[in-house]
Amino acid sequence: MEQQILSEKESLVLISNMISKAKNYYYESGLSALLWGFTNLICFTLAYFDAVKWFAFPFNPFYLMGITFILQIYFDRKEKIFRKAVTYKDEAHTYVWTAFAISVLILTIGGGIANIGYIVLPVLLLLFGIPTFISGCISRFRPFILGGIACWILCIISLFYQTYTTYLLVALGAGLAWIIPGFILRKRFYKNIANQHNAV
Amino acid sequence: MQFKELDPILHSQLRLAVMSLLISVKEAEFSFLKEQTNATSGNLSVQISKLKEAGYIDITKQFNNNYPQTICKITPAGIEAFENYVKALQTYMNL
Repeated sequence: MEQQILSEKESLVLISNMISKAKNYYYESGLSALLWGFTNLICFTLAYFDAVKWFAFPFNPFYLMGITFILQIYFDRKEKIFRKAVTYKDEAHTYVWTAFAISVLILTIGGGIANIGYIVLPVLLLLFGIPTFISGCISRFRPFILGGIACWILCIISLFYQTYTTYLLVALGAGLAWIIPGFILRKRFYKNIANQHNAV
Repeated sequence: MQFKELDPILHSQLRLAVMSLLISVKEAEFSFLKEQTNATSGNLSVQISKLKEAGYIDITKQFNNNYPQTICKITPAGIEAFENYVKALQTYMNL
């Protein structure tokens, strides 16, 4: 682009083009969705095995979340290099997921101390659905919207099964809400990279 | 109808393109602006310096995992100037 003086009409066209370009920019590798999806799937499946006494676990399987949290920080730092712009949508996503993380922490730690039992799991599914659905709506990404709805349906079902089977419903919720959309995002991410290389 | 004077800082192709991009995002890296505008690094560098001198954008230089980054962000003065510029354009276009 050269440095030239524009007519009024050209200025308006340029503004509109640039705003449209900026709005279409997104960076989403799907890594976080896969990371947390698989962690939840593994943790809740292990918790189920532990509850039905298929095998005794030497530690609480949910401690694995701590490792995922550290991995998340590491990947965030790495991905920051490749993220060329922070959009207002990105900011909204961050707020929504931060609120979700705080809510889950309060629920699981508080619920554990108060020993409220399996009722914590339907509430967890309810919480899983909220940020997933909102994220899907913000980014117009249908798999997240459907994943969020799936979590809410599983939440209703889990209200009727207040036993250790609910662990499997939460594991299924994680798979539907994050693992499947995560793989779709990952595929899209690699396709974008390939397109960029072809363009160069 | 009285025509408003167009801000000379904004009324040039590359600077206007940069401001239009920055008004749509929270912040953007130099390489993002370069990619979207197809400008050369030298030209873009000069133009964003002019925008910074006018107080329309903030520029932060930092290192992320040993990679140098130049982050640009529109300032409140920049937002106001951009809005005034668009309003002035509308008077010319009879919108």
